Amino acid sequence: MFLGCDIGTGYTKAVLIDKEGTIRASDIIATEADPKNAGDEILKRVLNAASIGLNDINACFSTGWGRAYVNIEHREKGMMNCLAKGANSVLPSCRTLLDIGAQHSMAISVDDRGNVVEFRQNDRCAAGSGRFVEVISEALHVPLEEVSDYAMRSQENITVTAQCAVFAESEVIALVNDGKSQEAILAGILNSLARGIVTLAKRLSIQNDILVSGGLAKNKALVNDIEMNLENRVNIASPDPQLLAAFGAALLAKEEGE
Amino acid sequence: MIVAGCDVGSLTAKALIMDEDENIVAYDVMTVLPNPLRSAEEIMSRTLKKANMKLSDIDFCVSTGYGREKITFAKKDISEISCHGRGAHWINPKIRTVIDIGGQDLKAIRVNRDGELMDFIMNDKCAAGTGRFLEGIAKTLKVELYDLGELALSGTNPVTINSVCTIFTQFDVMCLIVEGADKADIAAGVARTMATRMHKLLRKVGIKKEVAITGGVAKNQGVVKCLEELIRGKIVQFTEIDPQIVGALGAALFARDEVKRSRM
Repeated sequence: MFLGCDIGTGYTKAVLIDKEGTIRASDIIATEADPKNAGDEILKRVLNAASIGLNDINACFSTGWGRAYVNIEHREKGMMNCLAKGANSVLPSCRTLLDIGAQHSMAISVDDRGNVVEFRQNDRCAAGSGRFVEVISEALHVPLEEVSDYAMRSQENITVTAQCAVFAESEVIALVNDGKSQEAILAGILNSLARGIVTLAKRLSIQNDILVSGGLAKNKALVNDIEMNLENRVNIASPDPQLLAAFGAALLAKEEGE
Repeated sequence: MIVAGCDVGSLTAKALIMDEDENIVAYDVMTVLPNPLRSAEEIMSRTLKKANMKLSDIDFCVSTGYGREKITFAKKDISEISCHGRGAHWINPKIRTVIDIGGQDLKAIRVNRDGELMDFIMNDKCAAGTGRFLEGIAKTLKVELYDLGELALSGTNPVTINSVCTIFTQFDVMCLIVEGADKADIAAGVARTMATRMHKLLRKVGIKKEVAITGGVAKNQGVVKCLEELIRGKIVQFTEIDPQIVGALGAALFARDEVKRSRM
C-alpha cells in the first residue's frame, strides 16, 4: 500500500492506493490551524477505513504547507510535482492544470508523462485563493458550501473593484447597503477570483486539455467563470478535485516503491 | 473667525474646530457609520456640542479623507495627504516627513519648511500594514486593538511572520497560538512586520528629519519603536494632540487660509 498526504492550510487530505494504483481509502478533514493534529487524525482515519496497520504502508509521500507533520516515515514532495502526477493519471491528455486551494492558486504546464514543464503561482495574496470566498461568505452570512448556488442564481453583473480581500470585504458591505443581493455580490466575487486565476494561467502558454483541481474546483459557479474568462472548456479532476495532490503523492510513492 | 476640519476615513471620522488665534477649541473621533455624510454630520455635531457651538458659527469647513467629496456642509475638500502634511507641520514646524498609517492605507509624506506638500507615496491597494491589518490580528489574538502596542512592547522574543497578506497573517497567528507561542511575542512580531512594510515605503519617498507619525496606528507604541529602530532615529510623536486628528487639523488650517483669502 502507498500513502499520499496533503496537509493544506484549509484542509488535510490523504489517499491510500494499492500496487495497481487503485484508491483503497481517502479522506478530507479541516486542518484548523493545527497541522500536527490534522496529520495524526488523517493517518488514523485512512488506516481504519482500509483496515490496515502502519506496517502495511510500503511508502508515504507528503506534500502541502504542513507536509512535515505526517506521523509516519515519509518523503516530502513539491506540490506541483504531486499535482502534475495526479493530473496525468486522472486525465492523460491534460497539459494545463489549474489548482485553487485555501491560500494559493497555481497554474502548471504538464507533459505527457506527468512532469512539470513550467508553473506560476500566487500564494502571497488572499484575493487569489479560497480564503477570499471564505471571508466574503462570512461577511454575507452565506454558508460556504452554498456560495456556488447563490452565485448561479444571480440575475445581475457586479464588478468588485478591490484587489485585496480585506478591502473587498468593505466593498461588499457597501454593496449590501446599496441594496445589492447576496447572489449578485457572490457572483461578482467569484468572477473576480476567476479573472485572477486566468491572468495567472495566461502567463503560461495554455494548452488543451485543461484540468481544474483543489477545493475550489468544487465550486461550479467559479469553474464556469474560469471557462468564460479562458474562453475554453475545462475538466474537473475526478474522483474528487480536492484529493488530486494527495493522489499524485501516493502515485509518486508507488513509483518509488517499485 | 471660526473654522473646522472634518476628516472621514475608512474606519474613523474626526472633526476639529479652531478659533481666530489658531487655538483648538474642540475635537472628536468616532467610528464611521456606513454612510460617509452621516458620519460627517454626526462627528461634526458631537464636536460642535463640545465647543458649545452651532454649525452656523463655523465660517468655513474643509473636508478631507476617504469620504471627503460627500460632505455637503464642507465648502471645500482637500486630499488627506496635504492635510496630514500641513497638520503635522503646524504642530511641529521642524517636521519634514510624515508617516501616516490609517485604517486602509499607508502614506509617507514629505513637506517643505512651509508645510507644503513636496512628495508622497501611498499604498491603498493592499491591507497589509494598515490599521485593518492590526484590527484583524487583534481579533485573532483576542485582545483589544489599542492594547496591542503595549503587548508588543512586552514581547521578548518576536516571532517571524512570513506572510504579507493580512488574511494569511491572521492564519499564521492562529497556527502560532496553537503551537503555544506567547501572545506578546506574536504582537511584537506583528509590529515588526508592519514597521518593515512602512519602512520600505518611507525609503522610496526619502527620509528627511524630523519624522512624525500620525494616524490611528501611531498609537501603537510597538510599531513606533520598531520604526525608530529601522530609521535609526527618533520619531516625533504628538502627545498633546491626538495623532488621529492631524488630518482634520490640517483641513481646519486650510479653512483658515480660505477665510483669510476672502477677507483680502
